[in-house]
Amino acid sequence: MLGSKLRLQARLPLAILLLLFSLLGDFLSLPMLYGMRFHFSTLFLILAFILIGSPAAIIMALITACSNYVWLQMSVWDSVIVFAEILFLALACRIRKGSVFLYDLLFWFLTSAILLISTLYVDLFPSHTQLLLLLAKSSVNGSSNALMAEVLTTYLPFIRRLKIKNMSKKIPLQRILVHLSISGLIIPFVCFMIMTGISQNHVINLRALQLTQSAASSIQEQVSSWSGGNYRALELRDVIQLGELQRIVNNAASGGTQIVISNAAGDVLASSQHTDSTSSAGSQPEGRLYQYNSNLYLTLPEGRHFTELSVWSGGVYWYSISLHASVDYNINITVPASHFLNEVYGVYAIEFGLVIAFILLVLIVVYVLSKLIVQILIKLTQETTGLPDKIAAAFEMSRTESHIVEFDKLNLNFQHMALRLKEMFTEATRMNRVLTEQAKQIRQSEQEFQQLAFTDALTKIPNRLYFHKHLKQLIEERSSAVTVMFMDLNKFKNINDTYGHEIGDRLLQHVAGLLTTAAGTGNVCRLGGDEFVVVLPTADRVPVIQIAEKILELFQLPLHIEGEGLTLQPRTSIGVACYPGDTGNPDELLKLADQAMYLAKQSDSQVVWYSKEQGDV
Amino acid sequence: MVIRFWRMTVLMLLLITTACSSYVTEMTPISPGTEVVEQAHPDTETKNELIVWTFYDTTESDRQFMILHPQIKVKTVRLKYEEIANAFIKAYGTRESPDVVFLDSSMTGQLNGLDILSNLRGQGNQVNQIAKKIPVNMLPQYSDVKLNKLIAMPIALPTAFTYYRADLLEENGFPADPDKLTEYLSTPQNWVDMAIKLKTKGIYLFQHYTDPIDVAAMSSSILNRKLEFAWDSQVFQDAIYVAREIRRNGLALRSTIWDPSGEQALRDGQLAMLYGGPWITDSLKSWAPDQAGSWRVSQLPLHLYGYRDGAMIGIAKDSQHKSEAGKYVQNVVSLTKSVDVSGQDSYLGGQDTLNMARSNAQYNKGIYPTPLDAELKALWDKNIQGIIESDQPIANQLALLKEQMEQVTKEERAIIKEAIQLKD
Repeated sequence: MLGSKLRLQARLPLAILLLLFSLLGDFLSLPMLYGMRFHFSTLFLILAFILIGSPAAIIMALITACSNYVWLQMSVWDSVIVFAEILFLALACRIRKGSVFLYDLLFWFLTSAILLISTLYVDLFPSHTQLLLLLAKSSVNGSSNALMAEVLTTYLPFIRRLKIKNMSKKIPLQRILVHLSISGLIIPFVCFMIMTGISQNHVINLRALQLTQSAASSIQEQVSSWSGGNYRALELRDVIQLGELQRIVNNAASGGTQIVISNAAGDVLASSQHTDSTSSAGSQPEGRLYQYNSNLYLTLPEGRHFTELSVWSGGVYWYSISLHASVDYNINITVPASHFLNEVYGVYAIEFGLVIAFILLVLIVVYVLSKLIVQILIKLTQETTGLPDKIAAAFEMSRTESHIVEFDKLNLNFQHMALRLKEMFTEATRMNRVLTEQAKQIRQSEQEFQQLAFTDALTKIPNRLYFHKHLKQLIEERSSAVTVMFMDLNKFKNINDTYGHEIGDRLLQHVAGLLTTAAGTGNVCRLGGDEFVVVLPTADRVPVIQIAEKILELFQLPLHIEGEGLTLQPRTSIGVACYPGDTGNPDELLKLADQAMYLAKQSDSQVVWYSKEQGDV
Repeated sequence: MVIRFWRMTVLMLLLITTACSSYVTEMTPISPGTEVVEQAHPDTETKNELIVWTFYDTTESDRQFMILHPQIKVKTVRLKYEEIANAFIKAYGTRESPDVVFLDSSMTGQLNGLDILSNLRGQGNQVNQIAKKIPVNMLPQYSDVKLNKLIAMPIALPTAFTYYRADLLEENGFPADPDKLTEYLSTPQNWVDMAIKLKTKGIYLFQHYTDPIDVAAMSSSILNRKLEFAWDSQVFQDAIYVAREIRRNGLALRSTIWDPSGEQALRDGQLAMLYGGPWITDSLKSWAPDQAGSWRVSQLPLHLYGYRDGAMIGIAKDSQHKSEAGKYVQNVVSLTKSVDVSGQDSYLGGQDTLNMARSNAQYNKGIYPTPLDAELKALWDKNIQGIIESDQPIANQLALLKEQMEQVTKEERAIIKEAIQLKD
């Protein structure tokens, strides 16, 4: 309720504008046949209902209904039905959200049913034709307004922006189809009915003029042959002359016409209606008077009627002309408007009934069609969902026919596309397999290349290149301290020279194996020749010493070269340098370790720790 | 730009619908016109003079009236008997129209189809009381053709009688007593035989040979209430038979009492029988006062009851002095007076014709004058001569005449029938 109030305040100018338009009521209407107008009041009220909300729309409808009844003096039906329609829409939409147009159709269906049943007990209408016409016309009028309001608020950009309940900017396909088809049906029909209604009014007026004029001319022609004595006898109310006039009047009266010959005072000389009344029979009919020409008038009964049609059913055409120049008598011919209207009302009732039947038919067709389209789309969606997996699983497209060319074509295109995709996917899979194999081979080649690049070919341990890379890696990424142990084989040159390079190579391989065993988690690299380093990710002396002792211990093992009967005893000196204790520069670390090893060789020590003073072990 | 376009479009649509809504019926609404108020007649309103048209001398009754009603001035205009009805019809609706008019009951057919005489039943209680004295069977003669209105009132009841010279009949062996004479003349042959025998003595019972037909006509109008030709009845066949015999035997005087020769014949005792209304009494008294006591009155021959023409009085419908006219009528009509005054007349041997007229009235069949009477009477007069002169069976001749008359007046009778049915 608070929200509605706020909305109303926000849309007050719009509400006032719509209320003004709806209050204009009868002015904002298009004339159709006599007794029927196409009203636009509910268009603005339904717009208010959509744009502002149901409480405001109900209040506006109530004000409009009161205005129609009190101010515009409209019929009970036209006054009350406005409020009833909006109230029903508000209640229906509160129970369940939906199309205003469809709810409006439901309202008219229920109203028609109630009225038709009530006529079995209460005589509200002079004829069933009028009742059916009223219901059919009101239904078409009301539902057209609802449709227009829905279309305006759905498609017109600036009105759409006014919508407060902008729940979804997306429009369901079914609604578009309904709007298109019903608009295409109703709008031309209403235009046609308005145009034919105006034309029918003209024809009815002409028919009334012809009928009455013909009767009057017939009487004038017959009395024109009378003598002066005949007219004098008429003045004296001679019974035979009156009878002769009565005979002429009776002969001229036909087709619902009532003819009265009277004088200015209203005294009746002859009347086609058998009555002795001389009061109002000869004078003009009572009610609102409209003039067609100098002789023909139309009178509509005063007072309020249940429907507009009832007013016109009581309408009377009145034609008045002098009987003869020599006497002061008038021929007054009256024809009930219903004489002409009943026939046309019947045709109109059929036409309106047919268009309502077509609206219902179109709704059913649209419902079925939209269901069909949605089903096709759902099927397409289902088939396209997880398409890659389905294609991989070698699925088959269904070949259902929708009987709609575009959809069948779309389906076919999709099938072609799916098949093409399937082929592409198969090809891609094959290519992927090939590429994977190739990538694997490349990775293997790369590993092999890397192994070749970072491994010493003779000893199968990392080489100098690996040492530098590893050292740099350790310092940059992980370790806060690194210890490098530098060593070479004492008098290795003599061995090479003495026993040959093959034996020297086997010694180097033996030493690499010893170092690898002794180093544990440390990395052993061959820098070249007989130079080896052990890289430890620590600066702690204890593990370093332990490894150094281990190395020295393992170096105690001689190398027996089978087949040669040769036993070689490798000897080494170890130079140790630490990072960052000894240097902050990693490149210098190997140099410092080398210097320490050199010092160890000079001092005939087995292990020398680098120090700035050089010589501390 | 788009918004402006749509707003303009909606505005235009509203303007168009508003403009179209003013178009309703290609007719122009007009306000109710003012009713035309009829001008009163100031001239007649201001004058307090009662204009009376009469065809006989009413000086005495006028004088009596002005004594009773000195505030009402009576202006009497005397017209001829045969002109007064037409003159009244011509003058009606003009300034010349009288307030009161004396007419004759033979003129009823000429007037009862027109709406120019007031309904006397609406002229006050006194007039209504007098109207009630008119025997029911006589009312059609004073009513409009629809029998809705009493348009005139008889001055006196015009019951028709047979006036006869009792002395002459008795001398020649015929019944002198009224009742016996009525019985004797109830057959046509006796009527003829009497005429034949008296003719031998130079005494006539008929002025003209059509007298029997006139007597028959006193008992019946040409058209009955169903507007069928009524003069083909047995009574008329008998009357025509008598007429044929009179003509064949030369039994008619060939002169009327309105001629000097006829009047002289009456005085000379050559005319022993007259047929007519009570006014004959006064005429006889003036024509032959010395024959007082010789004349008697009896029922009409052929056992008929009937009326003869008699003066009546009516008030013009457009009279501006209806109240005064009503008083005048009340003063003139003698219907109520006759009850109190003895009607015994020594001229008629002490017979009371007033009471006889009243008592005979109850036996009368209805006489229904219509606007067609004049036309039919003319046709009748034209043909009856031939029927009397012919030897063909009377019934056949009358049947042919009936067919002819009904054919000639077919449309008019249909109109009047329609008018009568409206009343029913």
